Amino acid sequence: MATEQQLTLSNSEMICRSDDQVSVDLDGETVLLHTETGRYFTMNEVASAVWNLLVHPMSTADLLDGVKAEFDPPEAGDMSEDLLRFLTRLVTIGVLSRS
Amino acid sequence: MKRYRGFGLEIDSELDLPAFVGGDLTKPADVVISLGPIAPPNRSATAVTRWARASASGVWLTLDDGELIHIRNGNEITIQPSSRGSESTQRQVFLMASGFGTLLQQRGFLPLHGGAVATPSGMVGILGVSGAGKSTTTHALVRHGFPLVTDDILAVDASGARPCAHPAYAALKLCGDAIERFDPDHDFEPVRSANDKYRVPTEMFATGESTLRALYVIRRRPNAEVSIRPVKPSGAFRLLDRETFRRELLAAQGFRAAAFASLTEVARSVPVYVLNRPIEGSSHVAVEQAMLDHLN
Repeated sequence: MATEQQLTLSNSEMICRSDDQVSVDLDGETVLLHTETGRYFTMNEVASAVWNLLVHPMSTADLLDGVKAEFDPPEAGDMSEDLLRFLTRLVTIGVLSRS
Repeated sequence: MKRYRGFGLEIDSELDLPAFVGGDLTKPADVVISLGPIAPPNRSATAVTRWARASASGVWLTLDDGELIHIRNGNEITIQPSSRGSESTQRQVFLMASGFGTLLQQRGFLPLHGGAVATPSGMVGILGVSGAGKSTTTHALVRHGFPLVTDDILAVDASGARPCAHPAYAALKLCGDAIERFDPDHDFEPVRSANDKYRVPTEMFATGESTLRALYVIRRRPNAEVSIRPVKPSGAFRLLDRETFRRELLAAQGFRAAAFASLTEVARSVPVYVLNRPIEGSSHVAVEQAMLDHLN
């Protein structure tokens, strides 16, 4: 089991949705099954929008550009930190892979 | 063997199953319930609860006196009486709840914990945790002319174009005080080993499968006003997951992905409402009125 330290994502890493998950969009909100553990997760609209951008493998930097384009946030610096924290959590849960 | 019909299935049974209506002997049996020896659980079986073990080869239920029930392949329930040979007092309750709940999971249904009635525009499910008032509310709707579909287990088939359900249990299990409110001179048969619950047969029983019109989840909250509000699909998903009958057995048999697909399909396509009611005092009249107003 990887430690939290090892899992922390950097800004240029390639990431993609893991093969161990199934996700469904319910009216703009994503529900997820992690097939290995059988655990369910639900994402709010913002998290779901990020998840929807992850259809193909991409770098975290490209994902951040995509998120900025989608949300046009006033302070992109904060966004980057929040995004990496969110992605790291998805890797920890097992629904996102580093490729 | 006797032939019964429930959950859209033709059931051959060595045992009396008073909760089901009679079946159609011209059709082949979908399920066989028999008495006999049972192979013990294999090593890979998970102990899901104190009384249930599960694996891909089925589910084993152990009753208090050592009686065993094995449910497998979605078409076979075998009961092995204890070495004393007498019938367990828990047999009917275990068979009709966890027994059929498991069998339905094996057949790909999503069994939800609750009752249902039929309306001209589809079936209406009444869900909630034990003590929420599911059976009492379902019974109230039957008294207002909506035929009963089921009590305790609502088996949803989410594989088709629209989620649907079949009539199942033709009797309601009601608390003694709930019966006395409606019929103080009742002479109903007590449900064995269920505390102060009585089996109330009803002539108002639905026939044939139908699509689900709506699901209502009853919740008791401190000092809540009786109210009904719609839930968005992601919230419906979470609520219905909690109301999934014996969901721990689903996971242990390897049906988690199938259940997820059914849950998301129902959450997406069936309107789900929360019916809040107070923990305190008597609110069954207000709940009944709120349901009737909402359905009309």
